[in-house]
Amino acid sequence: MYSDVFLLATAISGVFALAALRLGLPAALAATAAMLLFLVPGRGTLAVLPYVGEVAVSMDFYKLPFVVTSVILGLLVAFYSPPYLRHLGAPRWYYGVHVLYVLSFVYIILFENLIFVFLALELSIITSFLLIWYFGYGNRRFVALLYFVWAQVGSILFLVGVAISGTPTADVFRAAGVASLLVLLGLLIKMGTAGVHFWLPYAHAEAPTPLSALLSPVHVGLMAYWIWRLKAGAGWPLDALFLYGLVTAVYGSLLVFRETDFKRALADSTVANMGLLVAAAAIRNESISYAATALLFVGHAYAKAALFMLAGLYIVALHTRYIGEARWDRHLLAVSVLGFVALAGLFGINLIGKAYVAAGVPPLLYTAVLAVAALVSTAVYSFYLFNQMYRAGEGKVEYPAEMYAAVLAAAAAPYLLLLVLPLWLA
Amino acid sequence: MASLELLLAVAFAAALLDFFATRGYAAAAAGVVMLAGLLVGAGPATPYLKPSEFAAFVAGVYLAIVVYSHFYMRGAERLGWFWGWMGTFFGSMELFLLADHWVLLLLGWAGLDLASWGLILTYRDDDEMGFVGDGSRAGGITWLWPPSSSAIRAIVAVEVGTASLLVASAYMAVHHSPFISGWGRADDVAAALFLVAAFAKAAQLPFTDWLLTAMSAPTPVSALLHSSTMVKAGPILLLKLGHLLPHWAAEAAFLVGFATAFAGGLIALGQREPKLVLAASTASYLGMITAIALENPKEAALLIYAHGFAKAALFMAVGHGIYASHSRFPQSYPLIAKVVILLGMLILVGVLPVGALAKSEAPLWTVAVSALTVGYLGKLLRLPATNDWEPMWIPYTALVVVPNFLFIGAPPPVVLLSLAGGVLAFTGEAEVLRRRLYLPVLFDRVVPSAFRATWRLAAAVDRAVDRALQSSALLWRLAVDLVTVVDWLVDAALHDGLVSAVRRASAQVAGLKLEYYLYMAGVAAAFIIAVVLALGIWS
Repeated sequence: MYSDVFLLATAISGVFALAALRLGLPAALAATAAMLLFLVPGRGTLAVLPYVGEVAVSMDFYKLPFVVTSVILGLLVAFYSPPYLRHLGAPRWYYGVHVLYVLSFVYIILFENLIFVFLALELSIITSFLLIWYFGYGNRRFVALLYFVWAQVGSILFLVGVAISGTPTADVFRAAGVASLLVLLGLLIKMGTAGVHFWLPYAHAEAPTPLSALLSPVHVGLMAYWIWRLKAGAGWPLDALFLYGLVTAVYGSLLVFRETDFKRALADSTVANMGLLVAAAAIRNESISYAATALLFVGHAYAKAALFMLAGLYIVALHTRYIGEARWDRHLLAVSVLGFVALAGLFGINLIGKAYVAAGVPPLLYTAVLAVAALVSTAVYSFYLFNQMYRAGEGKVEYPAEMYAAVLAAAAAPYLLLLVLPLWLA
Repeated sequence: MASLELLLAVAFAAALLDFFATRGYAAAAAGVVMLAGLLVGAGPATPYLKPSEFAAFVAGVYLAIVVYSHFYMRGAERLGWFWGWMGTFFGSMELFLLADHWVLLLLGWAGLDLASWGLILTYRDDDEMGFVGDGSRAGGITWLWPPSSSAIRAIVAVEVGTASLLVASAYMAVHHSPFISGWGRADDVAAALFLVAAFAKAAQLPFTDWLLTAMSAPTPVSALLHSSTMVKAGPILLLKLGHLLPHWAAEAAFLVGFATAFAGGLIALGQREPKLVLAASTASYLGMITAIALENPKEAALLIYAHGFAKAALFMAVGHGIYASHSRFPQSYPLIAKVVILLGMLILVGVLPVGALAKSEAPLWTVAVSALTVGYLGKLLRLPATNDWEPMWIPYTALVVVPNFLFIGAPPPVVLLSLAGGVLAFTGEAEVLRRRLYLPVLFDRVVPSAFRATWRLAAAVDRAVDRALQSSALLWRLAVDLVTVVDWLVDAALHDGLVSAVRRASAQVAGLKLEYYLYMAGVAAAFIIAVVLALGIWS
């Protein structure tokens, strides 16, 4: 029974997470590795509650890329964190919260009951809020509150929409009118698409970098799964949503050019990529939409995590966040090429994700032009950022090997995954 | 027998190997394996690939240039980078040519963009050999492009084409078939996007100038990617899809190609850097091929071969001069290089067999383009010869000699007219041509200014809304204060006011000595009742 697997994995991860509050990294790695147990395929019912309905959890082929990416990045980031946390002077309990944050990603996808998805969202918000509040940069408490309020508004709108719809089970989700719009608005706020993105550059840039490397690549992107999953019953205006996604991609890309701060630039770039993900999830053709959403999510997650970790490496090694002050040696150049090219969607599975988004473009001149603009702009800002970094010049940079290893692993993933793609698509 | 899939895997594996080994031996081996495999007729093992007539041509040119690079790049820095990207280019180009599945086509196409970008970055930004331009100022820009500027110009320009190809081929995949051989007629929007893709890749107007600054890359790269092969992906795409495109596409391709053919030829006449002469010439010939690709695909294919062999050899010959003189502006060329420049010129204009075959059905206007060719290549031939026999001459000489025995045609007499263009070799460089028709101003000033204005507008709007939202925190604070006051008032009213009012009322009531009043009221009531009863009895 999958419910037993779920409870077992939860228990093991939970115990190790609690241990990580005291013991730090080893327990955190064990807890995150235990989350791989969730990957056993199946479906089970945990309980049937009044008003809430069946509380089911499931793991299937469609959820696999989202959950695997979350867990692997959770592991990579944990592995990456120690030198950074030493730099921050953060205590060990950071790791415990980190693990709970990763666990919340798994829950967001695994729960089939949308009210429990809301609870998982709350877990993710609270854990990430705590880490920003205690370990953020700049005006961290203001930013943490800003993030918390926006995230709460998003998840509560989602909850209210689900409650009004009266169908909290994902399989039979049906919503119309206000309920449908509230669910969508809630998810879009959590993704930070154009117009409801104002929290995102603050939160993702001011969070401690290991957190940014999960917040920006994974947390916001997971909402795309739910847009994809719920769109059949939600009655959303999908064509408009698709175009809105493309507009967000262009808008977010334009915002990148205003930045000199590496992390803020990456945060703005997340807005652009969330636009592509919304467009992907809004494609009417189910299989194309899924391929686009999954490929873009996974590709973006690894590329963005790699680049955030690279930004963090510079914070530790050179004490700078300015991309114009980032020096590189050939190793750093290699990972930045891998990271920026994947982020640009010029190669790796990101390119195929973009191709599938393109497959959703309605055959009209203005939609085609908008799509080309979205695809070009998301690529151009990456090369612009790379160029900024490249021109900063070559130099000797001393950095901890484990940080570099984590960056390299994440940066290479979009290319390595090309090799398994034929199996996956078949 | 080796399958095409295996050959491609070998090509990409060689790229990875060379990246780490920094030697370029794997590149040579991959070139040999690919060429041999294709010549013995390797076929696809899956439906995803389909043989292409250009695959062996690319492998042959690649092999020659790999051999040349072993000499040219000797002692150069960043050899892992160079060989890694060369291998990536080779794998991507063959993938693009052989792909019959839309996703593979895109991977190959994008791999070309990437390899071109990477190879342009081979020289360091402070290495003079990677510069393009002389540092003068005109049209509001400085005419000097280090590799990083050239690279971003190249990638941005070709990315417009790649995004267009993404949308167009995705549309065809959804509406027809994921396999290119199963595609039906393209509608107008898809056709327009295919054209944009081909134009951007082949440096057709208005995209032309990225190709000129792409000369920041080492000469073997210019010989391979930016003349004979990678930029040919544009017209090859048109050849692949020509039968699917509507009639107007041929006219559009003709107009753009025709304009670029002359613009490129004229620009080449005005250049002083020999690599820029050849780059502009490449744009010109790509224009010629683009113009006829949809009208006469067979002729276009022959031109692709002839131009490929000739231009690769021309670049390598000029590179020999650059290598010998350590200057981007060589004032003399090795004798053998001059001979090859002459032979290359004769192929381009259609006198030697391979060129003659290509020109057998060429329209008359191409003679005028050939005349320009004789003019600008004649300028190179006028420079003195030196006696340098570095073995790098072998591959490029082979490239202009051997094909003449494989592709044989007799020169149409009219091509001889183009030799009259030799007089242009004795003219000076007109300013407008030297300034490349001011196309760099479009690239470096007009488009960036417009783009900057756009992102600044977006940033200003974003900032204004962000500020407004943050200042709304004040409203929240006011609301909180208001609620606090009201709450206090209600609280006070409920918990203080009401309780004490009740208490006061109770005390008042208690202070009224009710029992006395009740007693008095009882007495009064008893008195009234007694009176009433008495009156009743009495009456």
